Amino acid sequence: MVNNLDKVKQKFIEKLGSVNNEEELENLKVEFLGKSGEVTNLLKAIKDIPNDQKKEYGALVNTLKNEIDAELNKYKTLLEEKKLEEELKNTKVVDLTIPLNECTGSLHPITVTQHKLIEIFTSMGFIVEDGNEVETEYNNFEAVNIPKHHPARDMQDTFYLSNGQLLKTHTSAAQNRIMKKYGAPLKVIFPGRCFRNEQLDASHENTFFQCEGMMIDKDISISNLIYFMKQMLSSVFGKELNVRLRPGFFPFVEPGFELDCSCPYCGGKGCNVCKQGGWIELCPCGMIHPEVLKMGGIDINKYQGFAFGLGLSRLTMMNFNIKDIRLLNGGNLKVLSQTKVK
Amino acid sequence: MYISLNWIKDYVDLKGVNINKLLNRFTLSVAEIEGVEYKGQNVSGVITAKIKSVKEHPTSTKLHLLKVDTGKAILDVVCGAPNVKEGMITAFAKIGANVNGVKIDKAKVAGVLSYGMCCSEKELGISDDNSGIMEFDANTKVGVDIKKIVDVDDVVFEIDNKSLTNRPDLWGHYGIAREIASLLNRELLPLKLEKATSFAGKVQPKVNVKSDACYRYTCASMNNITKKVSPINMRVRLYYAGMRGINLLADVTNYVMLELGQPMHAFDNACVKQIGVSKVKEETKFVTLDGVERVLPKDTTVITNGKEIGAIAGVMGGLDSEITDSTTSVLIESANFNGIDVRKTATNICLRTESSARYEKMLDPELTLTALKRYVYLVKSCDKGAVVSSGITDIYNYHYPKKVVEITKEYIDSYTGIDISKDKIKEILKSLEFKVKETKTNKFLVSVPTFRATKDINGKADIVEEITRIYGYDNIKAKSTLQPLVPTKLNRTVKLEYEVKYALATRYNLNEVHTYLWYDTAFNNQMGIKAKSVLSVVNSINKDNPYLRSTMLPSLLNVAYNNKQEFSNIRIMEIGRVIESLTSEGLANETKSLGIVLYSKSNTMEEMLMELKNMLEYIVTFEANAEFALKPATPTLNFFHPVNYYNVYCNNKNIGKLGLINPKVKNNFDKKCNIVMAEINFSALVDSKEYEPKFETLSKYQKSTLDFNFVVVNEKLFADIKNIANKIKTNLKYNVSLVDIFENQDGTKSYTLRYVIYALDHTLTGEEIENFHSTVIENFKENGINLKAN
Repeated sequence: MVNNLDKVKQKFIEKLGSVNNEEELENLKVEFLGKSGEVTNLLKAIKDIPNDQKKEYGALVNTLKNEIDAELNKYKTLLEEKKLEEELKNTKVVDLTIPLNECTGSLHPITVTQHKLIEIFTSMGFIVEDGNEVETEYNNFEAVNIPKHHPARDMQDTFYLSNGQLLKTHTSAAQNRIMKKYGAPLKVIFPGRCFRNEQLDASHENTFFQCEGMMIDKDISISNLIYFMKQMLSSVFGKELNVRLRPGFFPFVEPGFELDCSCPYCGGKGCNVCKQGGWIELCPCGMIHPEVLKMGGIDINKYQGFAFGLGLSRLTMMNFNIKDIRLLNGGNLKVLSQTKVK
Repeated sequence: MYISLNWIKDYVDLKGVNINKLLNRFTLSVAEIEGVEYKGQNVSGVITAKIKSVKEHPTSTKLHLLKVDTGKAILDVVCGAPNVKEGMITAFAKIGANVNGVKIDKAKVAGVLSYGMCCSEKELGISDDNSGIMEFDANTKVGVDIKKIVDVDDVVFEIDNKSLTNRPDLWGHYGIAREIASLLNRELLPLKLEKATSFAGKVQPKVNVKSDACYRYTCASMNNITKKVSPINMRVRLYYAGMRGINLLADVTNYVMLELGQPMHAFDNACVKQIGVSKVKEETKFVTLDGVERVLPKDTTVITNGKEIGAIAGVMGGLDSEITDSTTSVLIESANFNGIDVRKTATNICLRTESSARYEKMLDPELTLTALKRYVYLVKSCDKGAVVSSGITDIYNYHYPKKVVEITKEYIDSYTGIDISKDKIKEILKSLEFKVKETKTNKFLVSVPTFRATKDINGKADIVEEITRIYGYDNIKAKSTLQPLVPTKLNRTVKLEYEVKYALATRYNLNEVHTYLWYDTAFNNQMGIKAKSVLSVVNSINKDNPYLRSTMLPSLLNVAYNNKQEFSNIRIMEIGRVIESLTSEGLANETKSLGIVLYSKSNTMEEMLMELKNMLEYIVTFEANAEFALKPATPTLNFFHPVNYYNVYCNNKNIGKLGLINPKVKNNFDKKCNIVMAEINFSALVDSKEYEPKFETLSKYQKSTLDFNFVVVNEKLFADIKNIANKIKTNLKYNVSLVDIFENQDGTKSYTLRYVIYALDHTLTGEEIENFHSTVIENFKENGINLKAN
């Protein structure tokens, strides 16, 4: 009988060698360990074993059973590993670089720049307001200290409308309304679209954007104006810039300035953008004229402030390297679709 | 305006001054310098020389052969100038000389060797006179570098006129010199004027001023004037400053104007009997100096010689009383007129002159007398025989009020944010000719000089400007404020505008465009688009497109049209302004409007309409956080298709529309495409009330699901069915959803609706479920809708 055990073991080892897959392995398991399997039969045969040898025989069969079981499990693991290996090898390669739902939408370059300005100014505590495009003569001129026959009206070719109103020539047209709405203290910017009745060329548009700002409080000074302009421009261009003031005449400010910033492209050394001067004229500004404050209902014995008018279209052109202002209103989607949204 | 530094040097000592630094400082403290020219750099080696003899050229009729005495040698020179004559002293360029960039060498001219060149004023760059070679006085020394006689060398800079609009005092060299003296802290030298005694005791010219536009009229006469040509250096200055020499008497008027900013007029005394200043009573024709006949509107102020008009006040003189070569006696006018009147006149007759440009700035009336005395002084120094032949008539009808501004150091400091000492404040103001008195209460009483008091300086802020600009803006350091920090709330319009555009660009791949506020009339006509306009531009340069839009869509269709060659799908949007109506006062009712146009050569109109609906639903529901609905309607605009047109609702308020393009318009546009459009009143969207979510307690008990399959025969919209489905009379809680729509062969539609029913406090009984089931069926039946028969 013990010889049978060896034969069964020998048989199992031979058969195991030719097993190729899990199914064959399962069959082999049934053949040896199943209800009428070879090992089971060996166990069943214990009844023919003399009593004194039964214990020993039983132990031998059990060892065999365990050995076979262990071999089967080992082989099973081997097969599984092999299968996994094959799966790893045969898995389909997916090209994720193929574009999927490519974003073809875009925002207008003005919107992108304006949003940047809004983020910068709100982070410094400014509120954002909005003005009309159709304005009254009063708001556009009188309320910002440009009376009738003032030569400053000459500088601006105004679109007048059939009802006596006009298309606002500058964002300053909203100053009066905003001061009356909020009173002092006030920190506000108001971007908007402006209009000038002039011929179009690479640097002139009859429809363009400005971003006006005002800060009114006690003791607001020229130092503060310089500070905020410097912070703002440094943020817009993403680098530390210097600013300088020159005298400038604008009826709604006194003193009035032209604000230049050090050229962000050459660092002030001189390049084509700054026409070798190292400075770029960016924004008229100044201390708000007391008459303008008074007309806006602000107590000039308590409050003073600064105002600035940033050329938003100009800034956008600098930001996006746009050489021709007509592209902004041109509606050419090949051009405009380039400003993908970040 | 061009400024000659030589001229400035008459009034400020510039010894040891770095000119480039000075000009930079001027830009930062006074006005922008747009350009600098270094005159005379291209001229060297040109001397005075005497023409000893003139002979005909052997072959040329125009050329002459000269013997020229340079003081060191007699040279053979070929010259083509018509005015050559023996004994004439001229400007001569030696061999090796530089004449406006050309190097002079010995050269054969028409076969004859020439050892140098005689020069005209134009060749030397000192005037535009090229009629002949220069001629100096007969007693001029020979062999002298002409730069020692003529001010060829000069630094001329151009100031941006726009930056001087508020500074009448800077429209002449003397005013500029005052600023430079202040910047350098040097003395401003006085003007040389004719003494008052020269006019004393003489008969004054008769003047009758009747126009209120004339603030001051000052005049006097001179006669015995024989010199016709003004001195070369005076002409060079005029030329460098952008004018040209005419004759002595006219040149001096220009010279005084360029020096003091005061326009002057010289009448030939032979043409003037009595001066009158009045307004024309009716439209009148008048020939100005430039030979053009102009029509003067009624009430234009003019200067008359008693009967006829001699000049338009402040603008230009007339041809008849012009100074000519035969003039020996002159009446000099130095007047002040109201700037607004001069400006109106100049605009009315379309004639802006150096004179009107200055009067418009509101000149100081105090200047007239100074200018007159300066004129006489200059003429007498040019023409020794000239004499004053009258007293001074001076009619001063309007005095500007004297201005004294009270200001404190504290005020100045709060404006600048820095500390400028009292001494510095006084020093700067005095250098600009302001008078400063300090009171016992620590106040400054600042008297404004008359030449700054006509318009420019009014209050404290103006005084701050004077102090700070001379002190130097670059000396003011940047400083933050000390205001309390308050969180800023982004206003909803600004926030929504960006977010909606952002969503449309990122979620729906739309491209944002900007279009004009007015219709493109030609495009609308071409497409057959009729669109309302309640306002138009009355003075547009572009006369074809005066009509302001009441809808965004034609502008966007125009953009789509212009891009359709390049793209098979166009998806564009804009948030812009439209003017739909006027208020009862006639003012524009301006609203913000969102326009969307989708154009496709491949997508079906159904796909596109659904997509558009998706966008609008997203905007209303998720961006504006409000309730969205669509209701079929009839279009009011002719370019919408009457079918598949819906009004857009936000919280039950109509805020816009969406639909297909009308085939009539589409056929003009592009037959093989689909176009859908939507327009939303963005202002109304912004004004909508935001939905505030309230959470319901979830039921702990089991829910039941019931499906129904209803057949709808007529053309009901799903919105109607949903309406019925949501009106079940029951105490139970329920939600209903659409599971499926099936189009039956007989043209009817089947809608599978799923109800989920539950109660908050118990598990539903079979009876309750059964009752709900029959209530639903009953409810639909009442509305003419039955279950599908199986």
